[in-house]
Amino acid sequence: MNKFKTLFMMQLREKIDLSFLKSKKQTLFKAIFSIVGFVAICVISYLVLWLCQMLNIFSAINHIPLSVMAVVFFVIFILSLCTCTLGLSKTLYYAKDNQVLLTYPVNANSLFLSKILVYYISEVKRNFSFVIPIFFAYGLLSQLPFMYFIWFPVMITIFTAIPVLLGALLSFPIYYLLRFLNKFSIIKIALLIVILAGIITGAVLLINAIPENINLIESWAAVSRALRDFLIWFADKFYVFYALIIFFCGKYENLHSILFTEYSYIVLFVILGIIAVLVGLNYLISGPLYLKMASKHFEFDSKKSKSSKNKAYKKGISPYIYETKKTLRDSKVLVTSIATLIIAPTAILLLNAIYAAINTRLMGDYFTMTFNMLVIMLFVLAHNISASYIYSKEGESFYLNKTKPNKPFKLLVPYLAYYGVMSVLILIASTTIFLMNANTSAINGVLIFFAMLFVVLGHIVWSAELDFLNPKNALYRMEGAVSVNTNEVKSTILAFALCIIFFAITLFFLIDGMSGVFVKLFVLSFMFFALRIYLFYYKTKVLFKEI
Amino acid sequence: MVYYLIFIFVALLLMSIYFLFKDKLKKKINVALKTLSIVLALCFFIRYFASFGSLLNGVVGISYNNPFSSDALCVIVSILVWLTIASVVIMGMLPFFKYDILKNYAKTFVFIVSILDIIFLRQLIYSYTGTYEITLCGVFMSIEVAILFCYSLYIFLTNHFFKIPKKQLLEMLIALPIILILSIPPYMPQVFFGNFGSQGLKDLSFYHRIYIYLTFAFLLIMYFGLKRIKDKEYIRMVLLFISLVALISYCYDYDFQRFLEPTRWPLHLCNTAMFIIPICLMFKLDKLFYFTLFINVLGAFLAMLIPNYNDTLGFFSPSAVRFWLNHSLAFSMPILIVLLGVYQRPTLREFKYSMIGFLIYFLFILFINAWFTNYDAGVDFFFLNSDFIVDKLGTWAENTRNIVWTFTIGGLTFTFYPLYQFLFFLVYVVLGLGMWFLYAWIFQMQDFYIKLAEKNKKIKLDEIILCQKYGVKEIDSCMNKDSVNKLVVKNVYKRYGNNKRYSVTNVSLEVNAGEIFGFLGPNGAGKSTLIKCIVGIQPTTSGSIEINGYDIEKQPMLAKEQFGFVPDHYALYENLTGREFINYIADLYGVDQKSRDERISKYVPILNLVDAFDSKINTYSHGMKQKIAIISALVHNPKLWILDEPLTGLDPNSIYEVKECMKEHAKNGNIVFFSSHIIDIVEKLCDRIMIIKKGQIVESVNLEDLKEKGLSLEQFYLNVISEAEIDESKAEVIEEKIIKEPPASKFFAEKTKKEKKNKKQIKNKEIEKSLEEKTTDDNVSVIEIKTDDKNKK
Repeated sequence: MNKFKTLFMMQLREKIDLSFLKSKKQTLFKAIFSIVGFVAICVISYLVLWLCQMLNIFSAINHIPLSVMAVVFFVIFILSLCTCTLGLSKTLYYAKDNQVLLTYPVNANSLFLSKILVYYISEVKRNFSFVIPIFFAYGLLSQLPFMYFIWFPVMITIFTAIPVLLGALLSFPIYYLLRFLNKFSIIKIALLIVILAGIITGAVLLINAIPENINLIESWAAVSRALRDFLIWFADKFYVFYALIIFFCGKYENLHSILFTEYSYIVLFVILGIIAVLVGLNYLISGPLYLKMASKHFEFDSKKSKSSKNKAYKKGISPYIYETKKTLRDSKVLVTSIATLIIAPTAILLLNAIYAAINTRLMGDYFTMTFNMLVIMLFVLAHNISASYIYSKEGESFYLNKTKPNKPFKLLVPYLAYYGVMSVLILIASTTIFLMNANTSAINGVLIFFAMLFVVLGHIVWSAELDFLNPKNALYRMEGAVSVNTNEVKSTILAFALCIIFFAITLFFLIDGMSGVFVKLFVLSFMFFALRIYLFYYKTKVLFKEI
Repeated sequence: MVYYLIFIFVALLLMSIYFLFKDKLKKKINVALKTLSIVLALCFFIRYFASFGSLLNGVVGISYNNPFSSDALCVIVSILVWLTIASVVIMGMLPFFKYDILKNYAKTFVFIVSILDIIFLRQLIYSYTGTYEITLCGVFMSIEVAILFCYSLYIFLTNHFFKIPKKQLLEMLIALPIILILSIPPYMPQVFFGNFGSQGLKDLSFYHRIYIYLTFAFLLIMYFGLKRIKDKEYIRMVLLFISLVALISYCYDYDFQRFLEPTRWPLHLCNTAMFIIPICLMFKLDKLFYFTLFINVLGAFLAMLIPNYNDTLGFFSPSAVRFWLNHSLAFSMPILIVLLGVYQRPTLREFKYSMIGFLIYFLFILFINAWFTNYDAGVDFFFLNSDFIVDKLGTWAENTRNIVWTFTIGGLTFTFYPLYQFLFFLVYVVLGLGMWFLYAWIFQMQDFYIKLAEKNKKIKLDEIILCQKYGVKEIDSCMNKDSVNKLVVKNVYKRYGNNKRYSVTNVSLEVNAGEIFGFLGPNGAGKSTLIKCIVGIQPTTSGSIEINGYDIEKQPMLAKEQFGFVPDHYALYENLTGREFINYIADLYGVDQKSRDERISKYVPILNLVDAFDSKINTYSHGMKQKIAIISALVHNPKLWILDEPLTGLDPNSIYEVKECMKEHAKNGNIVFFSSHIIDIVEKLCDRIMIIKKGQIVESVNLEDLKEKGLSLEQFYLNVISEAEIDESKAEVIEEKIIKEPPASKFFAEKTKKEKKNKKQIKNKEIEKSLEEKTTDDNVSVIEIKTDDKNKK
């Protein structure tokens, strides 16, 4: 037990950064930021639910039915299960710290379970940041009893074990599946093509299914009825989730929620039973399999490769070629890029098919135009968030750059070339579809494209700058990946903020009706890009030797 | 005529006092001038508030409502009204600040304005009073002009007349537009440019946005304009001037009558800022200042977004200009004051005080609103009484005003809206907290960029110094001829971050061409740290490293071309193949096709990598990666080959081959510098070795000498390591040591002082001086350490 505790604590300290506890000020900052974040999500969720309630979207009477929360919980659960499965696959079998941990005199079960426990803690932390505020908003809106606000966090903490343990169990077949696909790359490519074809077919079917004329006001009764029918269907077919929501939020009797009934104890017993079974299963499977699976990753194939020739490139071009090659060989980045390259234009196509069916006025045209731009930007910026660990993910080898006879800017910018090129491709594909449906001139189209491109490039450079100034190389060297990378979080926030600001400014310019809307947008975006590139150049020039 | 008589009387009186008590006054001239300034300010105060606003207030585009006989006269009087305000403030501040700029303005600008004031005295008074009859305002204005004239004349006569040094003249010219723009009375733009842009000053319209942009532009211009000035008192003077002229402009339609009507007092949050800011700057009241920093700034910003004036106002209408002047200043001045360092940055304590101050202000306003409503139903200080705010937020917010408490005391009815007012307070406190975080972030950014700029300056200065030192024009071409074909490490200290101990302490060494130099020491002794400093992975804390004549910190590009490096962690680009990696490195060093082909085909078979050379590096074993690192270090045939524990993980054949490569490389006239724990290999391979322990060099020996003495290196090493006494105090960081202080900062400090002299001459002299200082610094650090040794002994 002591060994397990040591193992667990060791990994926990590595995963969760508690360094802020050393300083009162930082602790206060952290606490306030957490509270502000919590309240912000709570307020946003409250507003959304309140709006739904006011518009009687889900119910004829003025309230949000439990089945809505059951759907929300179902989505959260599925997402959580996916992230847990993928996250645990990485942490359990591909983490670089396995190299050290596997050599410790502990059995496979202890190592396996300690890793799951650490993951469980980070998952609970995540739930406290996202799931609980959403359900608190529901509790406040529905005026649930005070005990709910204590009961729900406790129960969600217990319940979180289920997706984590399920994810751990699923990680076994996923691991073998991935190895199989890696071994037979033809099947892998075929599978990818099938998935992509599926997405495109689905999009085309959806576009075809859109009626020629959508009038939400006229068809509202039908839409509302369909929504309610769906909720009833969901509560019937996915009763487990509906039952869970009743367990969490209480049963409505005479418009009042009663939290604790006999039913609650039965559900609690079932949840605990499921957890016990899952722990048992994980224990049984991990014993014989885990060590073998975790060490497989460090075995090398000694295949004789095809010989090639030496090729000299110019000093200025060479970093772009080799850095792009390096990125292209990172399957995770490549898959994300291809997926974005397909999904973003498809989404825009779908969106514009819906818009085309809606009879809009001038203000509606402005909204559709800006909303199109917002969606495109969201896709491209989300794709580029990984630039926020572009240098860190190289681990120690990144520092070799410091011994190279090249200026820092010239060494660091080539890393970003891939993201720049991919962004241009995604933007061209998406913007072309958007502009084909938009009522605007070719010059405006070009200005819109470049305005978006400059913001996107600025974001790439900014994200890379975050990584450069606050490198996580040591963590990436140890883990191969970092579960909570503050730079990634900041880059994500920046992406959202830039999208919203771009959206707001464009809409504002359009509504303002002044001439040269897109020229102004282009100039502003260019200024943003120029500022970011200058700051990046300046910072790398001065600080490169110090990082 | 009477006004001129008053003027002559006062002027003669002042001159008589001066000539009669000349000797006594000379001894206490400062007191006398301060008294005169206060009298001037009092006269201005009385005449300003004794009038019922200027007649110019109604003039539009000079012609419309022109109270004078001609447009030209209207223009002249308008300009004089404007410049007189600036002149009064300049003269009022003059004895309280010892800066030449004020004297220069007094003897030129104010002196000329006062003469023009004398000429147009009647019209000036008329512009305020609307009559040529004798009024209180007119009398005091005559006295004011007399004081202005005599005072500026005195400064003119006692300060070399119109003679102003070039630098000061430049300073004056730069400051003049700021003085003129900021001291403009709110009605003056309308007088000159008429009125346009009506019905477009709200809802983020074009004209509304112009005002918002101007606010931020003012903030940025003032910050970047003043941030170079190190003298905080000077900055205080500038900011005080701005706040005073702004206050005068703000009060353009105030009169004594208004002060007698409490319902019209300027108690709105942003109005209070107009008074608080100059008071804080004048009397250095810090606690009051932080109130304005946390509360007024936020209030002003919100007010700028949702202005509460009549939306039919024109862009240049006096009310609009006054509103923007008020809110722009309330928004930007507190920020400027802190960012420019006039007041310290707030701590949590100051935030607490400001919140207590806000609570007191809030309760006071609540009470005043409730009380004064009995006399004037429109009383609505800080929008606590009306539905102005809730109206903008919607019905839900309006509902908060439904809870009303009303009670009557002594015939007076007091009405409160507890829920609305409590929520209002709470929201403000939360926003105040948000401001605290915002400020913390801004300060962090400011510190970061200031540090960055300083480092950049140092880099540039180091380049200049180096060029001067070797008498060349560009950094790329200069080289220390004494260090050619050598690795020279001079007095190198290295510590990580804010660590209190040096990892490397005062290390000096010199390795010549053709040598294989071994670097030995126990784990954690500082071997890798020194190597990282040599190859540029880590910057040194002080000292210099020259590779083949190039300084690694000042000429990094050129220095890095001179060496090849094999790290201890064999971290390579895992997604590239061995061949791609080597070619990439060869590209970076500009190796031509023929040479790279030759070298690759030479080293790859030797190190037994032929089969794996085209496989991805992530499939390599540790030893294979090490071999790739070795080839990559040799592909450009470097002058210096640095290896950090290179033989770890290599098979015996490869170890042999690497040793042969090292011998061959040295034989070709190059340097091989390597660290290792394998003493046998070091003994057989090296010409010289150096032993490091706890960051300090404990022994440096020629291996031939050891052989002659019949000592094995292993025995020698063990003896040295066990017997060497390390003076721990050497490694401790002494804050006073000049090591921490880069010579660049000294250079810049000196440079600022002597800027008056010829630029070119001073630059050369200062660089020389800095160079000397640098040499002295190195010596000082050594001397200090030696003194420590002595003390210890």
